[in-house]
Amino acid sequence: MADAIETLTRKDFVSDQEVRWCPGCGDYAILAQMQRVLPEMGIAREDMVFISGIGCSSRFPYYMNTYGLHTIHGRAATVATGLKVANPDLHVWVITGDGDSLSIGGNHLLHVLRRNVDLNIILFNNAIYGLTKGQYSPTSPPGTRTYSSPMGSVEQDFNAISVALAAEATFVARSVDRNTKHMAEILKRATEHRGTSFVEIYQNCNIYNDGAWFFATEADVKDDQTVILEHGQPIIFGKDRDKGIRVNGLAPEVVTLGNGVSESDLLTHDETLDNPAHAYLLSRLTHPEYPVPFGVFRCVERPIYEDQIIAQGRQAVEERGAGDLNALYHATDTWIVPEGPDAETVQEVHEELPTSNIIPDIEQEDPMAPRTALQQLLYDPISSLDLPAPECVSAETSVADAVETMRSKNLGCLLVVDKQGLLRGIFAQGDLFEKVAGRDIDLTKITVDSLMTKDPTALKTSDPIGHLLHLMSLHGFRHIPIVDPDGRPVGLASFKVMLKFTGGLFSDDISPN
Amino acid sequence: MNLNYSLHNDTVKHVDLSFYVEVQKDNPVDQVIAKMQDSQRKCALVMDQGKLIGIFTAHDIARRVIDQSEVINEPIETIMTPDPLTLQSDTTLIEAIRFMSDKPHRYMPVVDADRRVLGTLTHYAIIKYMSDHFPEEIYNLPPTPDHFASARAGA
Repeated sequence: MADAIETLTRKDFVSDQEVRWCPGCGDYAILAQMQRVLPEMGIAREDMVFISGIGCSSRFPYYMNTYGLHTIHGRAATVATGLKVANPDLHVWVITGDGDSLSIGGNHLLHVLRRNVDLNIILFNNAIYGLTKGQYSPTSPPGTRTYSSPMGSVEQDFNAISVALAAEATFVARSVDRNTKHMAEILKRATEHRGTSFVEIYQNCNIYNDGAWFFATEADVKDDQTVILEHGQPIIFGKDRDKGIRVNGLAPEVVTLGNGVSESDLLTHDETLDNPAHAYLLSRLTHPEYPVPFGVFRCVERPIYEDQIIAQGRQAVEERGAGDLNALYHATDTWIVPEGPDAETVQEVHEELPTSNIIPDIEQEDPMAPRTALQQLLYDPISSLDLPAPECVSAETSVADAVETMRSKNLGCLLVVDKQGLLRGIFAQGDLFEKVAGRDIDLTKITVDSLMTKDPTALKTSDPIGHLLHLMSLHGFRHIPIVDPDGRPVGLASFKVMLKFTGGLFSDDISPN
Repeated sequence: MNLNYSLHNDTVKHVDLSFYVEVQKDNPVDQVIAKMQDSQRKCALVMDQGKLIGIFTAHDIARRVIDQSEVINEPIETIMTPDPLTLQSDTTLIEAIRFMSDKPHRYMPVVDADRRVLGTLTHYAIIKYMSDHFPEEIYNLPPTPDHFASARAGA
């Protein structure tokens, strides 16, 4: 079984369901990181369950090729608790949003956290009700104007991290959809923690609350307006890493390093403190007064809920024998309600509701407008790139021959095709580096299909270049085969092709905006 | 954010330069490879008394080591690429992209004015830097291009 787990890849976690989030939604970035991280965690797909409530984020289980339950609004944590007690061997994720978990499901969230059930809660916080078309949510700041608060919300908002800490959560962390590397690290940490892991992810709703987190994600400002928490390290931030957080009494203050202020004066982060006051103080660092922290606020150990429940059950059986549910039901007064003639039929009324006209249309591009460099980089078809023709070999080619071919033709990778010429694998220098180098293997005795990446992710010439960048930057694929509609390789995209394309795309006539 | 403006104003110091390991010139080839594999870094910078004297990458392994087992006990110095091309730390990214895109090198050491090594510029780090400018258009994409639904839908 262990061998089978090790060979899982991102693709194994991608389901065949069409993804029904709005184009450009931050949920996609979270999905991509989950599918990237899980293969590394060594957990079998059939041992994994994703449980969601209601909301845009709650469509997540459909897109994961694992078990999943799309449950009742706000009650994903409850269903997950029951599942975990019934089968503690399962690896359970709760996918929820600010509406699902902090509004209707607030109560359930509090109790799963204090119980410390061993599951991972990922709260997608976009500070808006997206699915119901743009009403303010419990995390929308006061003054937020929405369709349901046209003069501005008058409600104090929740700070999800503060709520989790107050509810005695043992693992509390925050990340953001646009810092994909950080998000991957946090998802791994959450997976590894025993007990309830609570992860808030700032997520952009580009339709109803576009830009809610731009202060923390835009490249030119994020380093000065956020701070990455690192255990055991002084809390330092800023593009030039020259600012820090110092504690004056119980109040945090931003200080600039130098002029008598040194790193030793700064607050040092300790995620393992039993007293949650330190983590709570950090959770109160909010925009714009302070840099907003990302990372693990708190990570402590406490007994696990289901371990104790199950142990109690075992102890009771040992002491009193197996129970009889039927006998229990009939142990006290019961009665039967007689059949009667007075059952009412309820007429169901269906009314045609007017179609809402407040959903903004996604902007259509003017097909006649000249293409900007950015449009070319993101949306033009891959066929507009100058792609080298791929070098194709059969699966039975010996690795020795493949190495020689790559050397003589100065190639970084070969594509592996079957007798029909259909793409079956990709064999790259990276495979030699990872699987052969330093080991005593006779390269004439093994064939490329034993080392290649089978059934690699490929794109078509009509797909947008932006998707190439998606696969390259999120998954690190250096080479991406380009195939015709039947699956025959027609080109090979690479980091280098993209660099060359970018280098030629931008003129030196620049303006800041 | 204007990518063109950033590419012309940000320098190579502004991207992640961490994708390398440091080894000494007398380290044997097999130890260097093991160190690279352990840290999953495909680039080793070869140092001599704190000075950069060579570079050794997964590309070199595939070309010069993989089917020539006699070299694995040699010092890395004998098989590395000596005197590697470097970039000054104040090189703008657009200059770096143009410099790297017509050369075979995937890894370009970045040095400061005193020739101290700050890290290694990789193709990947540049691609990641560019993509960070367009999270909505690049990160927020479905797993495959044809995964989009024809219409937005409810729960």
